[in-house]
Amino acid sequence: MLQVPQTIKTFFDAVPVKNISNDHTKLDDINIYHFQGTSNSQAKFTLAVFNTTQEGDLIIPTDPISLGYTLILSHKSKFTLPKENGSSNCGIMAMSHLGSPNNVLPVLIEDDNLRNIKTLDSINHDLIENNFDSHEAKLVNSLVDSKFYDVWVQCILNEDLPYKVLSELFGLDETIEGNVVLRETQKYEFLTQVANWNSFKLRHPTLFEQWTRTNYLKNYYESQIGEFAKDLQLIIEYLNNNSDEQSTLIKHKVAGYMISIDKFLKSTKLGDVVVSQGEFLHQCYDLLV
Amino acid sequence: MLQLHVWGVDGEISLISPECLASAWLLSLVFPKNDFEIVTSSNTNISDINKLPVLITDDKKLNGFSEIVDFIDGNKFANESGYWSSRASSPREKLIHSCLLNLVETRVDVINQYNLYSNTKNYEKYTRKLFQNYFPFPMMYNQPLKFHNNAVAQVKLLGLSKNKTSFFDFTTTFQEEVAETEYFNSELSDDEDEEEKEVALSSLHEKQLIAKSKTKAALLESKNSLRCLVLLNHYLQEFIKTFKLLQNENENAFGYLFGGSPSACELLLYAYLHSLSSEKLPDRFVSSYLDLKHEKLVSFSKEQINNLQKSLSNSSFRPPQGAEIPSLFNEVGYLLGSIKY
Repeated sequence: MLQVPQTIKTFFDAVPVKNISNDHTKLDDINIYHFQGTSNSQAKFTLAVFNTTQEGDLIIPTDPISLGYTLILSHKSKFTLPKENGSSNCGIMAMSHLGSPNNVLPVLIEDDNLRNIKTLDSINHDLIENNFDSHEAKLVNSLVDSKFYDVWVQCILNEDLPYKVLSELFGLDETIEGNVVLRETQKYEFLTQVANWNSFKLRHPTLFEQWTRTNYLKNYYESQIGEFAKDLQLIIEYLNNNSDEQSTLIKHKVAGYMISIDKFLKSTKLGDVVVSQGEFLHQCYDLLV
Repeated sequence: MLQLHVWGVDGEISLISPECLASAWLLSLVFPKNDFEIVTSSNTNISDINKLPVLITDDKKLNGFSEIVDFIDGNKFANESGYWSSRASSPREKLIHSCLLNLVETRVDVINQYNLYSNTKNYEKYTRKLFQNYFPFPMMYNQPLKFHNNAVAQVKLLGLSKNKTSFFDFTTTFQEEVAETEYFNSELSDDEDEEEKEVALSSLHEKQLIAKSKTKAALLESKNSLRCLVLLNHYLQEFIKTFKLLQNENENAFGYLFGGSPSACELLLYAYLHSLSSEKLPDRFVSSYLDLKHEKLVSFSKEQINNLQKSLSNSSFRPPQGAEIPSLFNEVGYLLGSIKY
C-alpha cells in the first residue's frame, strides 16, 4: 500500500489552519459608522454597503441603493445619519461585495439573538410588507426598484467610467490604479458582475449578444435615458403632491439615486438628467441630516 | 409609409411576441390603413436592440414597444383615434400608466415565456414547430433552442423552475447546472425532493423506475403551473385594483382604465392574454383558469381583442424582401458589415 509522505501528511493535518467556533461572532466595530441618536426599539442592525464618503461631517454610502436605504433606516428608526463618533448601536459598514451572499450590496445584518443577513430582495419585500398599503404607492415603489435600478446598472456598463470613479463608488482596490493590467482586469471582472445585478442580463439576454458590430446595450441605454427622464419628472410631481409616510419612503429611495448620481456620475448622460432637476436635487440634499 | 417589422408569417403575427401584436394593434387604431404596412420579417438584425418590434418611419427607426408608444403619443392622429394617448392626460395617470407598462413588460412577460417555452407540452407541440415557418433553411435549427434556454433561465426569476431563485437574486441565476461527479450527485444530495438514483435490477424494475420518474416530472410541472397561475392572478389583480382606484368601480367589474378607450399598457396586457390563452396551444391551463377566476376581465378583454383583430385584418401585411429575409446569406452579410439595416 502506498505510504503518504510525512511532509504531505503534516501539511494536510495542519488544515484547517484556524478553527472557527460556532459561537455568535461580533462584527468588528472599528469599521462601523454608527447612526446618531437613540431608537425606541432595541433592534441592532448594520447595513453593509460598497463604500462610504464624507458629506460635511456626515458619513454616507456611495451607491444609490445603499444610500436610499440608509436614509430610510435612519428615518424609520428616528436616527440621524452616521458621523465619525456616532452613538447608537446601529450603523453602516463598507465591505467587499464578494462578502455578500449574492455578490451585491447592500445587505442588512441584523444582530439580535441570532444573526440574520437580509439581501436586497428581502429588504425590499419587508419594506413593502410593513409600510405600504396604498396600491398607487406600491406601483410607484416597484417602478423605482425596477426601472431606476436598471438604468443605473446600464450607466455603469455603458459610460466607460474611469477606474477612480468605480473605486470611489464601489470600493475597488485603489492601490492598483497605476498598474494598467491589474486595473483593467479588475474593471473587466467587476463589470461582468454588474451586468447580473437586478437580474439585468438574464432579463435582457439579447442585448449581450456581442458577435455583431451593433452595440445593442448602448442603443438600449440611450433609449432608456429618455424613459428615465420622463419617469423621474412624473415621480417628482407625485412626491410634491403627496406627503404621507409612504411617499416619504419613496422620496428617500429616489434621493439615494439623485445624490449618488450627482456626486459620482455627473459627467454621464444619467447625470445630465439628474442635474436638470435642480430644485428636487436640492430637496434631496436637505434629507441628509 | 411606416413599416412595422414583427415576428410572424403569412399575414399573421406570432404568439411568441405579444409586443409585436400590441404594436400592430396600436398602429391600426391610430393610423389610416394606407399609411403603414406590417412586415412579417422575423429578423431581429433589423432592430438596434436585437429585439422586435421595430417601426421604421421616413427619418428614424423606433426599437421596441415603448419607443413605438412614445412616437404614437406624439402623433397628431393619436388624440382623434380610439386610443388613449398619455400625452393629454394628467401626470398622475401618466405615472400609473408607466408603472403598469413596466409591470407587464417585466412580470407578465415571464409568465408568457413559461407558458410557451418551459411548459413541455406547449413547447414540444407548438412553439418549437413555429420557427420552421419563420426561418429559411438552415436558420431554423438553433433559434428555438436559444429562445428556449433564455426562457428557462428567465422563469427561474419567478421561482417557476426546479432550481429556485428570487427576482432579485443576482448570482445563482447564472449558474449552470453542475454536472454530477463522484462527490456531487443526486444520491449524496440532502435535498428531500431529490429523486434517489436507483439501479435497475431487471427490465421490469427499469420500466417501473422510468414510470416513477415521469410521474415525478409531471408533478413538478403541475406545481410550477399552479405557481404560474398564482402569480398571474396577482399581476391581474394589480390591473383590477387600478381600475377600481381610477374609475371608482367595485372589484367585480372591469373596463377601460383611463377613460373610454384602451391605453398602451392595456393593449399590451390584452396581447399577452391573447397569447396566454390562445386556442392554438395544446395545454390551455391558463385559459381555463382565467375563465373561472377572472370572468369579467376575460370577457372584457376578449371583446377588445376581437375588435382589435378585426381592425388589424384590414391592414396591409407583406412578407420580407431582399435583405429583410432572415436567411443565412443575409446573416453572413450582416456579420461582415456588407448589409446594414
